[in-house]
Amino acid sequence: MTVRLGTATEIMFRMMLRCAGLLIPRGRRTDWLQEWLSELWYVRRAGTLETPLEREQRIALFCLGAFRDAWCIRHEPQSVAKRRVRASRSAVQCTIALALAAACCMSAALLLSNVRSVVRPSPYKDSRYLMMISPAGVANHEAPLIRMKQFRLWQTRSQHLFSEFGFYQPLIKPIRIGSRYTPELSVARASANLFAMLGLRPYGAIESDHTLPTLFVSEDTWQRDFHGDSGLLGSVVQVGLRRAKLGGVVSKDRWRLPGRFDAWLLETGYEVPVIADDARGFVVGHLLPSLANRHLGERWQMSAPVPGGDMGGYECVAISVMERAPFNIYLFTVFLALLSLPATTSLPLGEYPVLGEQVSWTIRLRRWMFLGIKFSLLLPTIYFGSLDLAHGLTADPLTSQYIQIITSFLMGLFGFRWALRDQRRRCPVCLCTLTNPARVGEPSRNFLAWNGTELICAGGHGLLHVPELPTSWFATQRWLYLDSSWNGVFLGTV
Amino acid sequence: MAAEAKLSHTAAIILQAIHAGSIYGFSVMEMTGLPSGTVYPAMRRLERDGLIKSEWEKQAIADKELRPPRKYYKLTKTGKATLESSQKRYPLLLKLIPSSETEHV
Repeated sequence: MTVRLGTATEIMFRMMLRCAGLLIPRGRRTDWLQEWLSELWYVRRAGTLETPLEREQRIALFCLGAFRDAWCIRHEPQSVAKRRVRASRSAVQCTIALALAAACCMSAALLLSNVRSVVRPSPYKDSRYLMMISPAGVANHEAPLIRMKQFRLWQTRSQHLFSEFGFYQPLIKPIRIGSRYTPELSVARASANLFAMLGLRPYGAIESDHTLPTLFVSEDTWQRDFHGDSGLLGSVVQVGLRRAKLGGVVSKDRWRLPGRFDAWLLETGYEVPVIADDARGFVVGHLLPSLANRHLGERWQMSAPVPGGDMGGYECVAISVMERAPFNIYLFTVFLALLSLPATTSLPLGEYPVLGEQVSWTIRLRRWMFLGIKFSLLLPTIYFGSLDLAHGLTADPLTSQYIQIITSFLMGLFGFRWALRDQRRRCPVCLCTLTNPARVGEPSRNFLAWNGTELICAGGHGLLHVPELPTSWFATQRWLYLDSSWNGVFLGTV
Repeated sequence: MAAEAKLSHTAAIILQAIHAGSIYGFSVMEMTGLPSGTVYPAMRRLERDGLIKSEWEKQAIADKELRPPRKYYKLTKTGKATLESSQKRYPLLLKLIPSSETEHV
């Protein structure tokens, strides 16, 4: 019975100490609790002549003292000062602000449909083997440049490289639904196999009866001009002068080929006889996934016969390359920003004397970790921020690319510059921003005495001396550690 | 010197107890008769002011004796100087807790 009572009270006393430990600042809690738990062990084994009740009372009184000790530690004047200094300029606050910026840019990317389509993985089943074919030497892949008769010629020839071709031609046509017309819409008139080639599955899709072309509309058009009325699916509409069956709705970020369309008119046959020979459009080829074709890679050039009987040069670019373009732009501009960084700010972080006893390796490691965290949070902020600006401001792919190049480079350059400059202006011990800059020395006596700016750590860890003019004997900023004898001068000594 | 002037009677007793060989919190309590709620906060203040310093006992020693390791306290140079001036200020200090000749850890 006594043993059971002893075990129960021991658990209770340990709980009391742990509760008191909650008052202690987290950094000191473990050490504090360890000392009190250790002392409790010795207190329990002392006083052998007293009765069990007296013994438990004595231990309880001892444990109650822990609350007073914890309360005193919590309300130490220096702790209050430390909190005040740290709350305003702390590394934690800086990290939280950067993390919030990254989270905001990422959220905006997921909310904006144009950006979401860039960020999300490919919706096409075989994007590595789907090749956009355009005449060689043409920089702008956004313009329709291949004539229909060229497409027909390729269709009729036996193929070693491609299993099939798809064609689409941009048009501007109004759509008539019953007795009313929509405004003029951007329509892609395409071969019947285009969506099947891409693996694109519009929702609400109905089976084609092969007598009428099938019209698919974008989600925005569906909501705006068709009012989201699912009863219209399968009904006959008029696109320009031609009748078509309304086949389904294409989700917002599913179309990633060149051109932006409100609707897609899929013709009934693979040959697309209704499209004139001279009509220009885009051609997509599905590369045969053979071993011989694998070495071709994702961007290559080929010669193919043209209708006159000659050979013409063509460039084939995999859709996966086009989808990766924004990320490649990001990598390139970040690399460029890193190369340009030395031109805007000095790279060294300053001279910090090695004082093994005063500054532990964990503190030194923490400083480098903080710099690493800043860079690692800046990278997603730059990526998503530049995409938000590039694709949120305009729908034109070429303009978007230019905006992304500029914004990504500038964000990278100024972001990295800020990270380095911020690191140089922080105390290496507490990582708080240094304060109270003071000019020391006279510029006219630069070669006779030290001249520059002195900053101070509010926690009393040291002083930073930044030379006004780098000299051979004082080339970069220097940190001066202050020993504990200076503590009385500072309010917030950590 | 400012720290010496501020040392209260209780703080001086605790400092004297540590100097006399009570090198952990519970032994200071036993020697001085002060409660834990007074001894431990006072020792924290003394340590903060640089009059005493603490050190954890090695785990291996404690393990050998099947007990938890203790946190030991000892006087610093400043602490010794402060104690000397406190002994002059409070003459009964040495009579209450006589100094031990043997140095502990």
